[in-house]
Amino acid sequence: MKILAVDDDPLLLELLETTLESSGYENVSLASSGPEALRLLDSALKPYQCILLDIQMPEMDGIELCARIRRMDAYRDVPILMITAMTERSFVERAFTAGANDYISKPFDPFELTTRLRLAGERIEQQRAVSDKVFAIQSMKQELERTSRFAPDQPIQIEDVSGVVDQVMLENHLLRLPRADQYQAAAVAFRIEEFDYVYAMSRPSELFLLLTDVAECISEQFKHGEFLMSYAGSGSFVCLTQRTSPALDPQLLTRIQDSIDGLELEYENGRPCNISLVMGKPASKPLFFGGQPTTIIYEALESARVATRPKRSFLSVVHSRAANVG
Amino acid sequence: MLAENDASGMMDGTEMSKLPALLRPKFIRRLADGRERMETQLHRLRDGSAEASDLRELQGEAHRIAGIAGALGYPALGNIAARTDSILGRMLAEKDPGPDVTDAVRHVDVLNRAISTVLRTTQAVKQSA
Repeated sequence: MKILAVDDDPLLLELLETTLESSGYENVSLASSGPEALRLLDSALKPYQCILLDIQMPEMDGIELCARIRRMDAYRDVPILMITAMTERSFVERAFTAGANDYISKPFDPFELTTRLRLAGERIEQQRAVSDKVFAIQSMKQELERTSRFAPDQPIQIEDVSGVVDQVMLENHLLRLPRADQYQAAAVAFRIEEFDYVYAMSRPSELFLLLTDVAECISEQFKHGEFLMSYAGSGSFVCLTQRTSPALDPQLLTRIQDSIDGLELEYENGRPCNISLVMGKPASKPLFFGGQPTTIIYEALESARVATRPKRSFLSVVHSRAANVG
Repeated sequence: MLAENDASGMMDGTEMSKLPALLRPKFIRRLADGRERMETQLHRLRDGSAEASDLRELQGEAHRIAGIAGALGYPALGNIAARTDSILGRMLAEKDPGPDVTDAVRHVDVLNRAISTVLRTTQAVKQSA
């Protein structure tokens, strides 16, 4: 254990050094004042693992020194033991407040000193074990983030949102519908504008939650009729409903956008995450069309891909914000 | 009896053997070196001419003795020094020391006599050896 002992009495420092060395602690540095101790701590290539501080010292007392050591990044958690005479016991509370871990009374008993140091050493080991675990967890988390990062165009599965299925299931559903119902079906797609930017700004787990939020806002508008929806990748969602669905009115996009704005989404760094949605034209199978019924899904997605956001008047923005506040 | 064979607070042989024998002569030498100064300051304290710097120096010396004497086998001297350190510290903290001066004189006097005893005993042990 690398130890720094600080005391203004050279004889006491000598006694500490000899006692520590005879107890097997051979890496002991000595400082006779606070400023000297700070210089040693600053210039240490390998941080000290335990610090012994006298409380009463001229120029800078042990309590002030303790507080200053605790402000150094490398010594935030290192055990600090105060060495105090009986008359200084009243300072002990202040020393603990300044960040000391323990204290040894002067005149110190060598056995007590080595016992306290052994306890400090055990504490260092425990801290090391905890920080190793924290490091391992962080590494696992990073690895998980790395392996769970999906490509921007990957149609990931959104879960726990009413009506949301994966795209294969959506297509199968359409294929299995009776022919008459296939003609009644309509597909409409929505796309998050500048999705590449949102993708780049978000961690995978964050992006997943964001897509789930958007899916919920869309789902909410279709909940009163038959509908299924899937996330198609690239920030696009496709919904399957009926041509006659009351949801497909001209204000559909505005309602969904208002709902998204009301969530006041943020990136992890606290910056606002402004999601703008565009909507493609609803696609449905024309009568006497002989092709694949699933074509409408791709038509809807293509329409959303090329769609641009309708300009909103200043008043409509104000009204929608007021509605959200209400 | 304040010497190192004081049975009231003597460390046992095992503990004593761990202590550095070289440090005790250094400690004794320091006591001897500082004694004359302490007597001068005690005299000033008695006749009322002591300044704050005298009190600070006296307290510093008492504090240093209190911190190490016990570990070197002089626990009684250490206790006397600790009490002196305490009372001088209290005096220095107060603007008007008042009746504490008499008490301080008494404690510094006791400390001075305790140091004399330790020095005399050490000398006697040295001569008999």
